[in-house]
Amino acid sequence: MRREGEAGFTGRAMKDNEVSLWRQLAGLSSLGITFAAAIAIGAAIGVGLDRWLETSPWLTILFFLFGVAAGFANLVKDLKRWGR
Amino acid sequence: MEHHPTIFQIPNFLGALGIAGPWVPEHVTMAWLVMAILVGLSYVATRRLEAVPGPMQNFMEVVVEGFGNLLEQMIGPKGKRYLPLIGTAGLFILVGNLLGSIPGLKPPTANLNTTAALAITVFLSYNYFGIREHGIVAYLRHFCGPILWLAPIMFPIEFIGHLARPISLSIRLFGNIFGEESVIAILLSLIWLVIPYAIYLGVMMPLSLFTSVVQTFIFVMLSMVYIAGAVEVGHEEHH
Repeated sequence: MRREGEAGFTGRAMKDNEVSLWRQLAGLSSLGITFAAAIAIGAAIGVGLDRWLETSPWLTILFFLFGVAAGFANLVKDLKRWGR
Repeated sequence: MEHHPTIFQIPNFLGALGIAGPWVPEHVTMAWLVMAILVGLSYVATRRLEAVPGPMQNFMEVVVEGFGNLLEQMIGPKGKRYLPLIGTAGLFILVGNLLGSIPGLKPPTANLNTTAALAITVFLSYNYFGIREHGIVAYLRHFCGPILWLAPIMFPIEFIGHLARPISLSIRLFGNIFGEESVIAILLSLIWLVIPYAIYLGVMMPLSLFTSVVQTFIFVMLSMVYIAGAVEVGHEEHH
């Protein structure tokens, strides 16, 4: 339901291209942080598991690589979805 | 940069929970203030519901309808189910961010604890919605990718990718609001130079209003994208 002439940011139903623009902004603005966060989480999981299982440094390396892979996977997925 | 206390503080009655200090932490007080504002507004708006709404009821209807429309556009006809979560988070963040523009108050979202709480809530919720929609087995199977022998590699990758989402959600919101808050605090501490005051009024004030709205919007948008992704897991393979 659209109410024309009503002031306010969320007040009116937004047109489709407007929504997709904002969605693009939201998605693309999170690329960098998500990439870094994925690597950091992977490494953190690896370090944690290594401390627990005393297998240093193998799981750190493995999960660091998982983290990098997850970062790139997210990057590719997000770019496919929003990067048009 | 000296520390400016907020206008009102609540004596710490939470010592039993292990919270130190003479006062309740600032961001918690401010979060409660935001809750009080929202509860008050909702009460005033819905106290006397009428078919022909008054200005207050009208305003709130427009806000709620805006969230509802956005949800339907992003998630589909079932989107209104998620209005309580998304609408609450959005209004809380918006009012919280805007508190920064009032002298003597601080945005609760300028503290990583508050934003992490919001992001973790969204994270747990969208996973719950996905499991509720598809069942736990089908939902987890999606994590393993289409090829069976690749599953041991795919699962940790997907898992880490999902864990990165609440981190990016919380750090972005916290970073933006905290940074803006710090710049304003520095400008105001130099206020005797007069020029910083002009910068504050002319640049930082409009900018902070803009970031408040944009960051709210980005948080809400991404939450909706995550929920849509979790709920529609199965549809991707049919295309």
